Amino acid sequence: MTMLNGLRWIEQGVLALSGGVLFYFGYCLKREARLDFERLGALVFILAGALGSISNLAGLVFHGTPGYLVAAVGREILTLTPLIAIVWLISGTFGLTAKKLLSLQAQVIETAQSAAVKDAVTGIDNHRAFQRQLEEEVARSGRYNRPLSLLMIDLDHFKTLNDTYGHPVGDAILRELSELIKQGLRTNDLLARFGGEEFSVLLPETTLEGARVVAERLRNCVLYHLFNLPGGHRAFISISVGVANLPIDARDKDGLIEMAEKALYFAKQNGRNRVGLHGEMLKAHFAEDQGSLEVVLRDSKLSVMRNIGLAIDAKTPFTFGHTDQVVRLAMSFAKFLKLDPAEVESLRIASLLHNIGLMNAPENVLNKPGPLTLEERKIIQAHPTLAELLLKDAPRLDGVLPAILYHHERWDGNGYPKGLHGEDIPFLARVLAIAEAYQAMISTRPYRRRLSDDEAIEELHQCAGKQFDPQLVQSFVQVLNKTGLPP
Amino acid sequence: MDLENIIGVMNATALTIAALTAALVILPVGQDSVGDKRVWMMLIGLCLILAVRAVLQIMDSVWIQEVCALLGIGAGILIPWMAWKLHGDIRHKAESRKTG
Repeated sequence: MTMLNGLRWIEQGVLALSGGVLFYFGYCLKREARLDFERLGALVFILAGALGSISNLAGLVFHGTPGYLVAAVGREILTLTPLIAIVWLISGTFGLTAKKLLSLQAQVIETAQSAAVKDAVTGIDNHRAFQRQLEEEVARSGRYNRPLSLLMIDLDHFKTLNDTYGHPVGDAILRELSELIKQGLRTNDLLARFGGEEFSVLLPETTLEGARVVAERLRNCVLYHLFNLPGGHRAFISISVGVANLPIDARDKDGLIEMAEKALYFAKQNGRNRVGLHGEMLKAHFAEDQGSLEVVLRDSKLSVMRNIGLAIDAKTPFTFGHTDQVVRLAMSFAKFLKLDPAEVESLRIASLLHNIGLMNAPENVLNKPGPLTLEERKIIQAHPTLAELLLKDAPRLDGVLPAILYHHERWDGNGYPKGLHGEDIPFLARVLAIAEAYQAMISTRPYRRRLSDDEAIEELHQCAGKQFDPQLVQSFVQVLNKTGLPP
Repeated sequence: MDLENIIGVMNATALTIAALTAALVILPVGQDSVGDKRVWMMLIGLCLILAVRAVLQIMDSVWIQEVCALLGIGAGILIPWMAWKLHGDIRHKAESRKTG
């Protein structure tokens, strides 16, 4: 018993000291802890240490049964400390592991996102990112009616550099060039590698003139920069820049890229190390061959007009393809009549735009299966006048307007809008009237079935001298018999 | 069985479960775990020793009570050592965070 008592005294003494030491380290941990779980663990150590130490000291002071019981409580508390430490470390380990996993996941996502939009060689945006940004900027430009310019930059003689010094040097040049261009841009400007040695720069809120200034600045900046290349090589290089602007040179994203590329090609063709503007390119073509500009302008204008005609046709399923077929009929007719080129051109444009005044007509009126009311008839009959209002200020349409305005006049004077009679009706309007009426007759309408070709020709004959110019009807029928129109 | 014995059995069970959990779950995590792996081993060992001690305390034999007192002395030495090691690890981590 004596030995046991002695051991118990020693045990209580050791545990009292142990509690004190535990208290001290718990205090140190709390002071240095940064994370929540570390602070909580330190607090537990402080409490366990304090309780264990105090109770075992009490056991030593009040020796006997009461003192032994107090010390036993302290002993249990202290011997539970490993259990507390394990629980504490488990929670900390899981916390840190989860944190590490989340951080790793975030890192992986960031790397993947960066790889998807960044160019691996230069670290700037890649083609995909450029296309997305261009789309957004074009939409913004359209929404707020603000200018947007695009620069296409190409390194001159890059292939020679690559062949001479090798691809690693080529890559180093691209990296240095991208840095140089970036320094010459505003924070809002968007630089991307378009592909190969070609870079693109989006200049939001920038006019064509402003874009030219930026392009010239970049060109000079590159021209006077000495490139320090790997392997001790040094080189001067130059760039060519193509500039295009929205809305001056193009209307949409693809058009803007196309025009900037054409301008770049123009700059390359003209000796490189220069800035090319799409407008300047057209002027140069014009100086070379006056006719070519006319062709460019006419083709783009006709394309726009055809789109307008198609948009109007699309208002109702019954008029799908109407404009295209009227143009074909009118052109065949014009060829048969041996019209001069200016008249042919006017007739073509008039055929494309003859229904432009229907743009405003409600679709329920256009698609109405029954007879029109007086009010609805007025809406439809207003379309030639409305077309004149829309087009009267457009340049170079002087010869076209009468054909559009009067293509619903009748030979007997009962047409609209003016009730002109016989040869008072402009010639092109009479030609267009026959082509349009014939196309309408051989098409289904909401209020009647389509006529066969023979029935339509018969109807033309019956209306000759009433609705249509009788001589022109004869000629038109000959065209139909000869060419087999329509398709 | 008096109250002290019941507490002893509960202690033994809790310490054994803690030791097994640490051995099965934490040790395979390896270097991601908080603290030195040796501290974990020591904790597991300590838990098991104290679990045995808690069970032995139930018995009336004098010499077993003496062994229990010796185990209590051992635990009283090992617990500060364990706290010192953990303190070192936490301080090392805190310094790593500071220096990046």
